[in-house]
Amino acid sequence: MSAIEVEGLRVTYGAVEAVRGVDLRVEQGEVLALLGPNGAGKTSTVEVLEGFRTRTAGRVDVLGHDPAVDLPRQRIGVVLQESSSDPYLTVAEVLRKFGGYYDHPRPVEDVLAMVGLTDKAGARVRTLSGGQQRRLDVGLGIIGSPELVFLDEPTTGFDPSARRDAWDLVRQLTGDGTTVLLTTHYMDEAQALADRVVVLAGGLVVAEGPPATLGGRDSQGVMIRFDAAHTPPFGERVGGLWEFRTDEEVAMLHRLTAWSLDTGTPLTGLTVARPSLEDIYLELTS
Amino acid sequence: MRLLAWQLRWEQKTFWRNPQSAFFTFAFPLMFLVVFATLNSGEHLKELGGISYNQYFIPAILAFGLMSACYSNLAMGLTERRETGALKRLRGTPLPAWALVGGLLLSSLVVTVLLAVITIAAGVAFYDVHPPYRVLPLLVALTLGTVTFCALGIAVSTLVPNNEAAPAIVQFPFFLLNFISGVFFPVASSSVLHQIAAYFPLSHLVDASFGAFDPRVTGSGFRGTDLAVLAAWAVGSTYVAVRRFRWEPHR
Repeated sequence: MSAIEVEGLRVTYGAVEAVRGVDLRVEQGEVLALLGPNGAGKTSTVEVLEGFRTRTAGRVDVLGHDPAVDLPRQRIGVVLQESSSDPYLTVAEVLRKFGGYYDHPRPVEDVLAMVGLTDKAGARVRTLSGGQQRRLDVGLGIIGSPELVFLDEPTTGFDPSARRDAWDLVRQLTGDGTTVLLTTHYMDEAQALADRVVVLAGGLVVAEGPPATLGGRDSQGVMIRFDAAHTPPFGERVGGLWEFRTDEEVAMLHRLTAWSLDTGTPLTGLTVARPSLEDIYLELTS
Repeated sequence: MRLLAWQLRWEQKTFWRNPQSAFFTFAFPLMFLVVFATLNSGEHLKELGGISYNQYFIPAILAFGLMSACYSNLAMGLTERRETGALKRLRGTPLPAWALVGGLLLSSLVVTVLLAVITIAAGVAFYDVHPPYRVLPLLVALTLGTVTFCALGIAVSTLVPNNEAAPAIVQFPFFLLNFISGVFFPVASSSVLHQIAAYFPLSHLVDASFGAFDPRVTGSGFRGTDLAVLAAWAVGSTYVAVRRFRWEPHR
Protein backbone atom coordinates (compact mmCIF):
# COMPACT_ATOMS: atom_id res chain seq x y z
CA MET A 1 0.00 0.00 0.00
CA SER A 2 1.18 3.51 -0.79
CA ALA A 3 1.76 6.02 1.99
CA ILE A 4 0.07 8.77 -0.01
CA GLU A 5 -2.34 8.53 -2.94
CA VAL A 6 -3.81 11.54 -4.65
CA GLU A 7 -6.12 11.52 -7.65
CA GLY A 8 -7.49 14.54 -9.47
CA LEU A 9 -6.79 16.95 -6.63
CA ARG A 10 -8.20 20.43 -7.13
CA VAL A 11 -7.96 23.41 -4.82
CA THR A 12 -9.61 26.69 -5.70
CA TYR A 13 -9.65 29.97 -3.83
CA GLY A 14 -12.57 31.96 -5.14
CA ALA A 15 -11.90 32.26 -8.85
CA VAL A 16 -8.25 31.19 -8.56
CA GLU A 17 -7.41 27.57 -9.30
CA ALA A 18 -4.23 26.85 -7.36
CA VAL A 19 -4.26 23.10 -7.98
CA ARG A 20 -5.92 21.92 -11.18
CA GLY A 21 -6.01 18.13 -11.09
CA VAL A 22 -2.90 16.65 -9.52
CA ASP A 23 -2.20 12.91 -9.32
CA LEU A 24 0.44 11.82 -6.87
CA ARG A 25 1.62 8.62 -5.27
CA VAL A 26 4.25 8.20 -2.59
CA GLU A 27 5.32 4.67 -1.76
CA GLN A 28 6.19 3.62 1.76
CA GLY A 29 9.81 4.35 2.60
CA GLU A 30 10.19 6.59 -0.43
CA VAL A 31 11.53 10.14 -0.52
CA LEU A 32 9.50 12.17 -2.95
CA ALA A 33 10.55 15.70 -3.78
CA LEU A 34 7.90 18.14 -4.90
CA LEU A 35 9.52 20.83 -7.02
CA GLY A 36 8.01 23.91 -8.53
CA PRO A 37 8.20 27.68 -8.67
CA ASN A 38 6.21 29.89 -6.30
CA GLY A 39 2.53 29.69 -7.14
CA ALA A 40 2.85 26.24 -8.71
CA GLY A 41 0.44 24.75 -6.17
CA LYS A 42 3.08 22.99 -4.04
CA THR A 43 2.01 24.49 -0.73
CA SER A 44 -1.71 24.04 -1.42
CA THR A 45 -1.15 20.39 -2.34
CA VAL A 46 0.95 19.66 0.74
CA GLU A 47 -1.42 21.52 3.05
CA VAL A 48 -4.31 19.36 1.86
CA LEU A 49 -2.23 16.27 2.66
CA GLU A 50 -1.30 17.69 6.07
CA GLY A 51 -4.97 18.30 6.86
CA PHE A 52 -4.56 22.08 7.03
CA ARG A 53 -6.61 22.91 3.97
CA THR A 54 -9.82 21.59 2.47
CA ARG A 55 -9.79 20.45 -1.13
CA THR A 56 -12.28 21.43 -3.78
CA ALA A 57 -12.28 18.06 -5.54
CA GLY A 58 -10.36 14.82 -5.89
CA ARG A 59 -9.51 11.75 -3.86
CA VAL A 60 -6.81 11.91 -1.19
CA ASP A 61 -5.51 9.12 0.99
CA VAL A 62 -2.77 9.58 3.59
CA LEU A 63 -1.75 6.42 5.50
CA GLY A 64 -5.17 4.98 4.74
CA HIS A 65 -7.09 8.04 5.93
CA ASP A 66 -8.85 10.93 4.26
CA PRO A 67 -7.21 14.05 5.73
CA ALA A 68 -10.48 15.99 5.36
CA VAL A 69 -12.03 13.57 7.88
CA ASP A 70 -9.19 12.57 10.18
CA LEU A 71 -5.45 12.05 10.08
CA PRO A 72 -3.46 9.61 12.22
CA ARG A 73 -1.37 12.43 13.67
CA GLN A 74 0.44 9.96 15.92
CA ARG A 75 2.11 8.55 12.80
CA ILE A 76 2.82 11.82 10.98
CA GLY A 77 5.44 14.51 11.47
CA VAL A 78 5.02 17.97 9.99
CA VAL A 79 7.85 20.44 9.50
CA LEU A 80 6.33 23.70 8.36
CA GLN A 81 8.03 26.36 6.31
CA GLU A 82 7.91 29.00 8.98
CA SER A 83 6.84 28.38 12.49
CA SER A 84 8.07 29.07 15.93
CA SER A 85 7.69 27.36 19.22
CA ASP A 86 7.83 28.41 22.83
CA PRO A 87 10.59 31.07 22.91
CA TYR A 88 10.99 30.91 26.68
CA LEU A 89 11.49 27.17 26.99
CA THR A 90 14.82 25.48 26.40
CA VAL A 91 15.49 23.29 23.39
CA ALA A 92 15.32 20.11 25.46
CA GLU A 93 12.12 21.28 27.18
CA VAL A 94 10.32 21.98 23.91
CA LEU A 95 11.29 18.56 22.61
CA ARG A 96 10.08 16.96 25.84
CA LYS A 97 6.81 18.92 25.71
CA PHE A 98 6.09 17.85 22.13
CA GLY A 99 7.21 14.30 22.85
CA GLY A 100 4.44 14.17 25.45
CA TYR A 101 1.85 14.42 22.66
CA TYR A 102 2.91 11.11 21.12
CA ASP A 103 2.45 7.49 22.17
CA HIS A 104 5.96 6.48 21.11
CA PRO A 105 8.26 9.49 21.25
CA ARG A 106 11.94 9.25 20.39
CA PRO A 107 14.19 9.94 23.38
CA VAL A 108 14.99 13.66 23.58
CA GLU A 109 18.76 12.96 23.63
CA ASP A 110 18.48 10.97 20.39
CA VAL A 111 16.65 13.78 18.62
CA LEU A 112 19.11 16.37 19.94
CA ALA A 113 21.94 14.31 18.49
CA MET A 114 20.14 13.70 15.19
CA VAL A 115 19.59 17.42 14.55
CA GLY A 116 22.95 18.44 16.00
CA LEU A 117 21.61 20.47 18.93
CA THR A 118 23.13 18.51 21.79
CA ASP A 119 25.27 21.51 22.75
CA LYS A 120 22.21 23.74 22.74
CA ALA A 121 19.96 21.49 24.84
CA GLY A 122 19.86 23.98 27.71
CA ALA A 123 19.55 27.14 25.59
CA ARG A 124 16.30 29.11 25.44
CA VAL A 125 14.66 28.75 22.05
CA ARG A 126 14.66 32.52 21.45
CA THR A 127 18.47 32.65 21.69
CA LEU A 128 18.92 30.20 18.79
CA SER A 129 20.18 31.32 15.39
CA GLY A 130 17.92 30.92 12.37
CA GLY A 131 19.62 27.72 11.30
CA GLN A 132 19.48 26.24 14.80
CA GLN A 133 15.80 27.13 15.04
CA ARG A 134 15.19 25.33 11.76
CA ARG A 135 17.00 22.25 13.05
CA LEU A 136 14.76 22.36 16.11
CA ASP A 137 11.76 22.53 13.74
CA VAL A 138 12.97 19.34 12.10
CA GLY A 139 13.56 17.79 15.53
CA LEU A 140 9.97 18.58 16.57
CA GLY A 141 8.76 17.02 13.33
CA ILE A 142 10.43 13.70 14.09
CA ILE A 143 10.08 13.52 17.90
CA GLY A 144 7.02 11.27 17.62
CA SER A 145 8.88 8.62 15.52
CA PRO A 146 6.55 9.23 12.57
CA GLU A 147 6.13 6.87 9.61
CA LEU A 148 5.54 9.80 7.30
CA VAL A 149 7.26 13.19 7.48
CA PHE A 150 6.34 16.32 5.56
CA LEU A 151 9.37 18.56 5.11
CA ASP A 152 8.49 21.95 3.69
CA GLU A 153 11.66 23.61 2.40
CA PRO A 154 13.71 22.24 5.28
CA THR A 155 17.03 23.87 4.40
CA THR A 156 15.99 27.35 3.27
CA GLY A 157 18.41 29.78 4.86
CA PHE A 158 21.01 27.12 5.73
CA ASP A 159 24.67 27.57 4.98
CA PRO A 160 26.20 24.83 2.79
CA SER A 161 27.58 22.76 5.65
CA ALA A 162 24.30 22.93 7.59
CA ARG A 163 22.51 21.77 4.43
CA ARG A 164 24.81 18.74 4.18
CA ASP A 165 24.01 17.93 7.82
CA ALA A 166 20.29 18.23 7.14
CA TRP A 167 20.63 15.93 4.16
CA ASP A 168 22.43 13.38 6.28
CA LEU A 169 19.56 13.61 8.73
CA VAL A 170 16.97 12.94 6.02
CA ARG A 171 19.04 9.98 4.78
CA GLN A 172 19.17 8.68 8.33
CA LEU A 173 15.37 8.90 8.54
CA THR A 174 14.85 7.10 5.27
CA GLY A 175 17.30 4.45 6.40
CA ASP A 176 14.72 3.70 9.10
CA GLY A 177 12.03 3.28 6.45
CA THR A 178 10.37 6.64 7.07
CA THR A 179 8.43 8.04 4.13
CA VAL A 180 9.34 11.64 3.32
CA LEU A 181 7.48 14.17 1.22
CA LEU A 182 9.90 17.00 0.64
CA THR A 183 9.14 20.33 -1.00
CA THR A 184 12.11 22.33 -2.11
CA HIS A 185 13.37 25.04 -4.44
CA TYR A 186 16.82 23.51 -4.65
CA MET A 187 17.61 21.15 -7.51
CA ASP A 188 20.70 19.78 -5.83
CA GLU A 189 18.61 18.97 -2.76
CA ALA A 190 16.11 17.00 -4.81
CA GLN A 191 18.96 15.26 -6.59
CA ALA A 192 20.75 14.41 -3.36
CA LEU A 193 17.76 13.12 -1.43
CA ALA A 194 14.83 12.13 -3.57
CA ASP A 195 14.05 8.73 -5.02
CA ARG A 196 11.55 10.44 -7.24
CA VAL A 197 10.82 14.01 -8.25
CA VAL A 198 7.47 15.51 -9.18
CA VAL A 199 7.55 18.90 -10.85
CA LEU A 200 4.48 21.12 -10.48
CA ALA A 201 3.79 24.19 -12.57
CA GLY A 202 0.57 26.15 -12.86
CA GLY A 203 -1.25 23.71 -10.61
CA LEU A 204 -0.43 20.65 -12.72
CA VAL A 205 2.19 17.89 -12.68
CA VAL A 206 4.47 18.65 -15.63
CA ALA A 207 7.07 15.95 -15.07
CA GLU A 208 7.70 13.01 -12.83
CA GLY A 209 10.52 10.52 -12.44
CA PRO A 210 13.78 9.68 -10.75
CA PRO A 211 16.14 12.68 -10.66
CA ALA A 212 18.50 10.99 -13.13
CA THR A 213 15.91 10.57 -15.88
CA LEU A 214 13.52 13.43 -15.16
CA GLY A 215 12.19 15.15 -18.27
CA GLY A 216 14.22 12.85 -20.55
CA ARG A 217 17.39 14.11 -18.97
CA ASP A 218 19.20 10.86 -19.75
CA SER A 219 18.04 10.73 -23.38
CA GLN A 220 18.53 14.32 -24.41
CA GLY A 221 22.14 13.81 -25.31
CA VAL A 222 25.14 15.65 -24.00
CA MET A 223 26.25 19.20 -24.52
CA ILE A 224 29.82 19.70 -25.68
CA ARG A 225 31.29 23.18 -25.17
CA PHE A 226 34.73 24.61 -25.90
CA ASP A 227 36.52 27.61 -27.24
CA ALA A 228 38.81 27.64 -30.29
CA ALA A 229 40.70 30.30 -32.24
CA HIS A 230 39.33 29.05 -35.60
CA THR A 231 35.85 28.06 -36.68
CA PRO A 232 35.40 24.32 -35.98
CA PRO A 233 33.68 21.96 -38.47
CA PHE A 234 30.49 21.87 -36.33
CA GLY A 235 28.94 23.79 -33.43
CA GLU A 236 27.30 27.11 -32.82
CA ARG A 237 28.71 30.17 -31.18
CA VAL A 238 26.71 30.78 -27.97
CA GLY A 239 27.78 33.08 -25.18
CA GLY A 240 31.43 33.27 -26.21
CA LEU A 241 31.80 29.49 -26.61
CA TRP A 242 31.23 26.91 -29.30
CA GLU A 243 28.63 24.32 -28.39
CA PHE A 244 26.68 21.43 -29.86
CA ARG A 245 24.37 18.75 -28.59
CA THR A 246 24.83 15.12 -29.58
CA ASP A 247 23.73 11.58 -28.77
CA GLU A 248 27.03 10.17 -30.03
CA GLU A 249 29.52 11.94 -27.88
CA VAL A 250 32.36 9.43 -28.40
CA ALA A 251 32.36 9.70 -32.19
CA MET A 252 31.85 13.46 -32.15
CA LEU A 253 34.64 13.99 -29.65
CA HIS A 254 36.89 11.84 -31.79
CA ARG A 255 36.21 14.01 -34.84
CA LEU A 256 36.59 17.22 -32.84
CA THR A 257 39.92 16.27 -31.30
CA ALA A 258 41.17 15.00 -34.71
CA TRP A 259 40.33 18.41 -36.21
CA SER A 260 42.12 20.10 -33.32
CA LEU A 261 45.32 18.06 -33.79
CA ASP A 262 45.27 18.27 -37.62
CA THR A 263 44.87 22.04 -37.69
CA GLY A 264 46.92 22.75 -34.54
CA THR A 265 43.95 24.57 -32.97
CA PRO A 266 43.80 24.05 -29.19
CA LEU A 267 40.37 23.35 -27.61
CA THR A 268 40.24 25.46 -24.47
CA GLY A 269 37.78 24.85 -21.66
CA LEU A 270 36.37 21.68 -23.23
CA THR A 271 33.40 20.31 -21.29
CA VAL A 272 31.08 17.38 -21.90
CA ALA A 273 27.90 17.53 -19.79
CA ARG A 274 24.40 16.16 -19.52
CA PRO A 275 21.73 18.81 -18.96
CA SER A 276 21.57 19.50 -15.23
CA LEU A 277 18.39 18.92 -13.26
CA GLU A 278 18.22 22.67 -13.08
CA ASP A 279 18.28 22.99 -16.90
CA ILE A 280 15.43 20.48 -17.13
CA TYR A 281 13.50 22.18 -14.37
CA LEU A 282 13.78 25.60 -16.00
CA GLU A 283 12.73 24.11 -19.32
CA LEU A 284 9.70 22.43 -17.72
CA THR A 285 8.46 25.31 -15.65
CA SER A 286 9.04 28.27 -17.94
CA MET B 1 -6.53 14.10 31.90
CA ARG B 2 -2.85 13.33 31.46
CA LEU B 3 -2.72 15.72 28.49
CA LEU B 4 -4.47 18.46 30.49
CA ALA B 5 -1.96 18.12 33.31
CA TRP B 6 0.86 18.11 30.75
CA GLN B 7 -0.44 21.30 29.10
CA LEU B 8 -0.97 22.99 32.48
CA ARG B 9 2.58 22.21 33.47
CA TRP B 10 4.09 23.70 30.29
CA GLU B 11 1.74 26.68 30.21
CA GLN B 12 2.79 27.51 33.76
CA LYS B 13 6.47 27.14 32.93
CA THR B 14 6.04 29.37 29.90
CA PHE B 15 4.07 31.94 31.89
CA TRP B 16 6.68 32.33 34.60
CA ARG B 17 9.56 32.39 32.13
CA ASN B 18 8.01 35.22 30.13
CA PRO B 19 8.94 38.41 31.97
CA GLN B 20 6.22 40.36 30.19
CA SER B 21 3.30 38.19 31.23
CA ALA B 22 4.59 37.79 34.77
CA PHE B 23 5.16 41.54 35.08
CA PHE B 24 1.86 42.74 33.68
CA THR B 25 -0.15 40.12 35.51
CA PHE B 26 1.36 40.57 38.95
CA ALA B 27 3.37 43.76 39.18
CA PHE B 28 0.72 45.92 37.52
CA PRO B 29 -2.27 45.19 39.79
CA LEU B 30 -0.04 45.06 42.85
CA MET B 31 1.41 48.46 41.99
CA PHE B 32 -2.11 49.90 41.65
CA LEU B 33 -3.04 48.18 44.88
CA VAL B 34 -0.20 49.76 46.83
CA VAL B 35 -0.66 53.24 45.34
CA PHE B 36 -4.45 53.50 45.69
CA ALA B 37 -4.75 51.58 48.94
CA THR B 38 -2.05 53.75 50.54
CA LEU B 39 -3.38 57.05 49.20
CA ASN B 40 -6.95 56.29 50.31
CA SER B 41 -6.12 54.52 53.51
CA GLY B 42 -8.51 55.80 56.19
CA GLU B 43 -11.06 57.03 53.63
CA HIS B 44 -14.64 55.85 53.92
CA LEU B 45 -17.24 55.46 51.22
CA LYS B 46 -20.47 57.21 52.15
CA GLU B 47 -22.35 55.67 49.20
CA LEU B 48 -21.54 52.18 50.51
CA GLY B 49 -22.76 52.81 54.03
CA GLY B 50 -19.48 54.25 55.27
CA ILE B 51 -17.29 51.14 54.86
CA SER B 52 -13.57 51.72 54.40
CA TYR B 53 -12.29 52.44 50.90
CA ASN B 54 -9.96 49.46 50.98
CA GLN B 55 -12.73 47.04 51.95
CA TYR B 56 -14.16 47.94 48.54
CA PHE B 57 -10.92 48.45 46.63
CA ILE B 58 -9.20 45.12 47.42
CA PRO B 59 -11.91 42.92 45.79
CA ALA B 60 -12.24 45.47 42.97
CA ILE B 61 -8.53 45.47 42.12
CA LEU B 62 -8.65 41.68 42.33
CA ALA B 63 -11.26 41.75 39.55
CA PHE B 64 -8.93 44.00 37.56
CA GLY B 65 -6.03 41.57 38.08
CA LEU B 66 -8.21 38.63 37.04
CA MET B 67 -9.26 40.34 33.84
CA SER B 68 -5.67 41.21 33.06
CA ALA B 69 -4.44 37.68 33.84
CA CYS B 70 -7.14 35.97 31.80
CA TYR B 71 -8.39 38.32 29.11
CA SER B 72 -5.21 40.26 28.27
CA ASN B 73 -2.86 37.30 28.57
CA LEU B 74 -4.95 35.05 26.35
CA ALA B 75 -5.91 37.66 23.77
CA MET B 76 -2.31 38.86 23.38
CA GLY B 77 -0.70 35.45 23.84
CA LEU B 78 -2.93 33.56 21.41
CA THR B 79 -2.58 36.28 18.78
CA GLU B 80 1.18 36.02 19.07
CA ARG B 81 1.15 32.22 18.97
CA ARG B 82 -1.09 32.26 15.93
CA GLU B 83 0.89 34.86 14.01
CA THR B 84 4.26 33.25 14.71
CA GLY B 85 2.98 29.89 13.48
CA ALA B 86 3.13 28.21 16.89
CA LEU B 87 -0.58 27.30 16.75
CA LYS B 88 -0.29 25.90 13.26
CA ARG B 89 2.59 23.76 14.39
CA LEU B 90 0.54 22.44 17.31
CA ARG B 91 -2.24 21.58 14.92
CA GLY B 92 0.19 19.24 13.16
CA THR B 93 0.61 17.23 16.38
CA PRO B 94 -1.88 14.85 18.00
CA LEU B 95 -2.68 17.45 20.71
CA PRO B 96 -6.46 17.96 20.61
CA ALA B 97 -7.82 21.52 20.65
CA TRP B 98 -9.72 20.92 23.89
CA ALA B 99 -6.47 20.09 25.68
CA LEU B 100 -4.82 23.26 24.40
CA VAL B 101 -7.72 25.44 25.54
CA GLY B 102 -8.19 23.47 28.75
CA GLY B 103 -4.52 23.91 29.62
CA LEU B 104 -4.74 27.66 29.05
CA LEU B 105 -7.88 27.85 31.20
CA LEU B 106 -6.37 25.84 34.06
CA SER B 107 -3.17 27.83 33.92
CA SER B 108 -5.17 31.08 34.11
CA LEU B 109 -7.09 29.66 37.05
CA VAL B 110 -3.84 28.91 38.89
CA VAL B 111 -2.65 32.47 38.26
CA THR B 112 -6.00 33.87 39.42
CA VAL B 113 -5.94 31.90 42.65
CA LEU B 114 -2.40 33.07 43.35
CA LEU B 115 -3.34 36.64 42.56
CA ALA B 116 -6.38 36.40 44.85
CA VAL B 117 -4.30 35.05 47.72
CA ILE B 118 -1.67 37.77 47.37
CA THR B 119 -4.20 40.59 46.94
CA ILE B 120 -6.38 39.55 49.86
CA ALA B 121 -3.39 38.81 52.09
CA ALA B 122 -1.91 42.24 51.33
CA GLY B 123 -5.25 43.89 52.09
CA VAL B 124 -5.68 42.05 55.37
CA ALA B 125 -2.08 42.47 56.48
CA PHE B 126 -1.43 46.09 55.53
CA TYR B 127 -4.72 47.86 54.85
CA ASP B 128 -7.07 46.74 57.62
CA VAL B 129 -9.30 44.84 55.25
CA HIS B 130 -11.63 42.29 56.77
CA PRO B 131 -11.19 38.83 55.13
CA PRO B 132 -14.10 37.78 52.89
CA TYR B 133 -17.28 37.23 54.84
CA ARG B 134 -18.46 34.67 52.34
CA VAL B 135 -15.84 32.40 50.81
CA LEU B 136 -17.94 30.18 48.54
CA PRO B 137 -19.60 33.07 46.67
CA LEU B 138 -16.13 34.59 46.18
CA LEU B 139 -14.73 31.33 44.77
CA VAL B 140 -17.72 30.97 42.46
CA ALA B 141 -17.36 34.57 41.27
CA LEU B 142 -13.62 34.20 40.62
CA THR B 143 -13.99 30.85 38.86
CA LEU B 144 -16.81 32.07 36.65
CA GLY B 145 -14.85 35.27 36.06
CA THR B 146 -11.83 33.23 34.95
CA VAL B 147 -13.92 31.21 32.50
CA THR B 148 -15.66 34.32 31.17
CA PHE B 149 -12.52 36.39 30.66
CA CYS B 150 -10.55 33.47 29.20
CA ALA B 151 -13.34 32.91 26.68
CA LEU B 152 -13.46 36.65 25.97
CA GLY B 153 -9.69 36.70 25.52
CA ILE B 154 -9.81 33.85 23.01
CA ALA B 155 -12.74 35.49 21.20
CA VAL B 156 -10.95 38.85 20.97
CA SER B 157 -7.74 37.18 19.74
CA THR B 158 -9.74 36.02 16.71
CA LEU B 159 -10.59 39.65 15.92
CA VAL B 160 -6.96 40.81 15.95
CA PRO B 161 -5.43 40.73 12.46
CA ASN B 162 -1.75 40.81 13.49
CA ASN B 163 0.67 41.22 16.36
CA GLU B 164 1.10 44.95 15.83
CA ALA B 165 -2.62 45.62 16.20
CA ALA B 166 -2.95 43.53 19.36
CA PRO B 167 -2.20 46.16 22.03
CA ALA B 168 -4.68 48.65 20.54
CA ILE B 169 -7.52 46.18 20.03
CA VAL B 170 -6.96 44.20 23.23
CA GLN B 171 -5.81 46.75 25.78
CA PHE B 172 -7.61 49.96 24.83
CA PRO B 173 -11.14 48.69 25.58
CA PHE B 174 -9.80 47.07 28.74
CA PHE B 175 -8.48 50.36 30.08
CA LEU B 176 -11.65 52.25 29.17
CA LEU B 177 -13.69 49.57 30.87
CA ASN B 178 -11.61 49.87 34.04
CA PHE B 179 -12.56 53.48 34.53
CA ILE B 180 -16.29 53.03 34.12
CA SER B 181 -16.59 49.68 35.91
CA GLY B 182 -15.76 50.89 39.41
CA VAL B 183 -12.32 49.34 39.73
CA PHE B 184 -10.78 52.36 41.43
CA PHE B 185 -13.89 54.03 42.88
CA PRO B 186 -17.48 52.90 42.99
CA VAL B 187 -19.50 54.45 40.17
CA ALA B 188 -22.93 55.78 41.16
CA SER B 189 -25.57 53.39 39.87
CA SER B 190 -27.68 56.25 38.47
CA SER B 191 -24.85 57.57 36.27
CA VAL B 192 -24.71 57.03 32.52
CA LEU B 193 -21.22 55.53 32.87
CA HIS B 194 -22.54 52.87 35.19
CA GLN B 195 -25.37 52.07 32.83
CA ILE B 196 -22.89 51.62 29.99
CA ALA B 197 -20.58 49.55 32.17
CA ALA B 198 -23.50 47.32 33.17
CA TYR B 199 -23.54 45.87 29.64
CA PHE B 200 -19.97 44.63 30.06
CA PRO B 201 -18.68 41.87 32.33
CA LEU B 202 -16.07 43.71 34.39
CA SER B 203 -18.42 45.77 36.58
CA HIS B 204 -20.36 42.61 37.38
CA LEU B 205 -17.18 40.80 38.39
CA VAL B 206 -16.26 43.77 40.60
CA ASP B 207 -19.71 43.67 42.23
CA ALA B 208 -19.73 39.89 42.65
CA SER B 209 -16.26 39.97 44.13
CA PHE B 210 -17.07 42.92 46.42
CA GLY B 211 -20.23 41.15 47.55
CA ALA B 212 -18.08 38.66 49.45
CA PHE B 213 -16.30 41.50 51.27
CA ASP B 214 -19.34 43.66 51.96
CA PRO B 215 -20.24 43.52 55.70
CA ARG B 216 -23.78 44.71 54.92
CA VAL B 217 -24.68 41.75 52.72
CA THR B 218 -27.21 39.33 54.16
CA GLY B 219 -28.41 35.99 52.81
CA SER B 220 -26.35 33.54 50.77
CA GLY B 221 -24.08 36.21 49.27
CA PHE B 222 -24.47 34.92 45.72
CA ARG B 223 -25.24 37.78 43.35
CA GLY B 224 -27.51 36.17 40.79
CA THR B 225 -27.73 39.02 38.30
CA ASP B 226 -23.98 39.61 38.21
CA LEU B 227 -23.25 35.91 37.79
CA ALA B 228 -25.89 35.66 35.07
CA VAL B 229 -24.32 38.53 33.08
CA LEU B 230 -20.88 36.94 33.44
CA ALA B 231 -22.26 33.60 32.28
CA ALA B 232 -23.95 35.26 29.31
CA TRP B 233 -20.64 36.83 28.29
CA ALA B 234 -18.95 33.45 28.68
CA VAL B 235 -21.47 31.81 26.37
CA GLY B 236 -21.33 34.63 23.79
CA SER B 237 -17.53 34.70 23.82
CA THR B 238 -17.31 30.93 23.48
CA TYR B 239 -19.63 31.09 20.49
CA VAL B 240 -17.47 33.74 18.78
CA ALA B 241 -14.25 31.91 19.71
CA VAL B 242 -15.45 28.58 18.32
CA ARG B 243 -16.84 30.13 15.15
CA ARG B 244 -13.87 32.31 14.36
CA PHE B 245 -10.86 30.47 15.80
CA ARG B 246 -8.03 29.97 13.33
CA TRP B 247 -4.73 28.17 13.70
CA GLU B 248 -2.94 29.77 10.82
CA PRO B 249 -1.24 33.15 10.71
CA HIS B 250 -2.63 35.91 8.50
CA ARG B 251 -0.19 36.60 5.72
